[in-house]
Amino acid sequence: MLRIEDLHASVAETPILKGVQLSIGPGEVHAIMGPNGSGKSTLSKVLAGDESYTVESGRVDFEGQNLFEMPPEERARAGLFLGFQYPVEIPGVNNSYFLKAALNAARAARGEPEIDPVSFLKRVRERAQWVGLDDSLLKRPVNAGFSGGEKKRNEIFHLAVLEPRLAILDETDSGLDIDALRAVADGVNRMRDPQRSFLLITHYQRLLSYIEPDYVHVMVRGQIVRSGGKELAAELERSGYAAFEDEEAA
Amino acid sequence: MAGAPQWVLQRRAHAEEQVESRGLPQPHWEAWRGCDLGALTPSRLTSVAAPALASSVAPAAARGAGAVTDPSSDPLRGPIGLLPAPLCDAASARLLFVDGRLTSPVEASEWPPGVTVSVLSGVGAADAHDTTATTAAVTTAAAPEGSAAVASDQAASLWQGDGWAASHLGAHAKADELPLAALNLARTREVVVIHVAAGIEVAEPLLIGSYCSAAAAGQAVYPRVLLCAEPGSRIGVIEWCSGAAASDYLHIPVYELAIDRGARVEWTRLSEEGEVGRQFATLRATVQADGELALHSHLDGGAQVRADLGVVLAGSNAGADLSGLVLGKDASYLDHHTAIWHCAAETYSRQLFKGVLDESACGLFDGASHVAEQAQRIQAEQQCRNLLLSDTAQARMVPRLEIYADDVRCSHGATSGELDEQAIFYMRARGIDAAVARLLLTEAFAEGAIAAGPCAVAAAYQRQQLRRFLPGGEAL
Repeated sequence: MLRIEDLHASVAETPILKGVQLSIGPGEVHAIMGPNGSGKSTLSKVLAGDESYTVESGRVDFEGQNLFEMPPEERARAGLFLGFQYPVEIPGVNNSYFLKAALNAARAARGEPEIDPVSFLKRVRERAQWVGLDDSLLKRPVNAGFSGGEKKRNEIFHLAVLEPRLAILDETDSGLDIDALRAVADGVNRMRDPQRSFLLITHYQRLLSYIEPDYVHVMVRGQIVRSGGKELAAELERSGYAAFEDEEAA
Repeated sequence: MAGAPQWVLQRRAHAEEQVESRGLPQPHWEAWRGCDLGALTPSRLTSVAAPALASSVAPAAARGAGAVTDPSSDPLRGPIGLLPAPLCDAASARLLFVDGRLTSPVEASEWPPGVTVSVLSGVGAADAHDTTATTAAVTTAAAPEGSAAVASDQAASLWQGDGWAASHLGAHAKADELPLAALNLARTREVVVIHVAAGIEVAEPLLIGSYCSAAAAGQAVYPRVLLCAEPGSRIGVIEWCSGAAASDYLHIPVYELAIDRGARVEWTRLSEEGEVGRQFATLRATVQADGELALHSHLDGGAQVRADLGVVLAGSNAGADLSGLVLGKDASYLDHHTAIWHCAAETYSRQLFKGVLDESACGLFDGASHVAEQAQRIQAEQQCRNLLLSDTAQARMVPRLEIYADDVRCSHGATSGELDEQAIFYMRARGIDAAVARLLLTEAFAEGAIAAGPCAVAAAYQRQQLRRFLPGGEAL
């Protein structure tokens, strides 16, 4: 589904990603863990198409297409979803209206008609329940005045409504209390599907107690230095990142 | 009743004297600093010679507006169709000036009970400078049902020297202080007076339009309206100003609002001047104790538009909510000058003005709050926000506070900026086109100002016009 080859990227001429290699197959759940500044969030932004990052070299194929030839909206319509670490407030744009516009943009790209209002409403209500999002937040402007936990739930709610092929969740667990974390994890687990893949980016092993990954990768200084199964997360929890500081990319 | 009342003629003569002695606004006058006054030349201030009726204005069908009343019932109904259809449909009654002349007689049946409308017409028709005109005539209408006796009495006394028209005409937009109000009073052809009786609440807004036709090219048009809201009354007015696209007219309307104790007036200005038309509008309101004015001003189009909005809060607990939206493109210069005079204790004013400026447009907001020494415990808030959609658009903001009382809450804020790139990326990352994201964010920005206006009908119309204004907006 996603193949990243020797990806180098920079921001403001400072190299951040220094040769990332990663492959994600259909239905797989991958987790990238790493210390602050290791490049985890940069990787997610580069994959989503944030123009404040510069891709220096390398290639990323998503569903057989060269990702870097697609603007951010095309990537999203092709099924790539980024759950933001800091969801942006959009005052004045109704959450539900926004989602409908996003959903219909993806449907139009696939040559499908717009979703009918009844089906949309049904889907929105059902998925809001999955993540414990209060109905009143559907009518409010996107993320405006939401608490930190509500913003993260809203990200997973968007994910649940849009049904992407690959969801990249950038530190969705940060700042969440235990109930919110569980609700977010429940939402993600409900969305797990043999055809849908996840890339979880996190500092902590805690999230992985609720969402069991198939693969865990450790990122240090812009490279993935170790990959393994879910047991690698437990090892990280015990040893900390310091033990991986001197490792080079495999 | 024939002939202009003596007091009207005297005031016009005084106004003309003011014009001659004080002259036209000068760029070094504080209130006019930075304003392009090139259009205010004596040769262009000549009042349009002939009334422009159906023959010289575009037919309604051509603009897609649709006439609102049966054209066969009145040969002058055609121009009424110039008024935007959504506004016409929702209004309880309509008046339209074309080139400064009313296009249809005032008909009693049109007006809501308790509302009296009177027109002093033909003043100075032969020559705009002739202040001794004797051809003036007054027509008055009030609703025939419910308040007929009261209305009849009011009609009779309306234009008397001790009537309320005499009390208020020129008393709010003063010829001694405002050169363009003086010019208007000296040269207006028809004065419309609207009186709302005490305790009357009018649910649907009145629509007052002023249109400058091709016949007004190179000349000036001076509509004038006086609204008196008696104690406890409530009325909404949508005031629409527009003109022919290629006509370089000068539109100089004056509106005076006398808002008595406990009355509420909701006044919405919709300015949609032709692309080379210019407007210098003056609105002055006086609000007595417990009265309220909700004033909204929408400026869209015109080479140059200046809306000079002033409110005197004369009695305790009087309030003014001012809001506005500026939509500027091309090289248009769109200017809100506001002034609130807090003259009594526990008065309040809130101002929210926003601008969406594209291409080489310039938006100016100059907002003054004056607080008199006796005006303790007042609140005055003022916010101006501008969104610049191009590198060559400009926003200028001049907040002014002049406070002589010591127990007040006053605040002001002014910002200008571009669209939030983080928000655009967020929306794109959900699959929304960059262009659509920009449109939605721009609409969201403007919505704050639109929603602050008092009239739902006008707000819906503004949203529609905003989509026309934004590139690609109509496709949304």
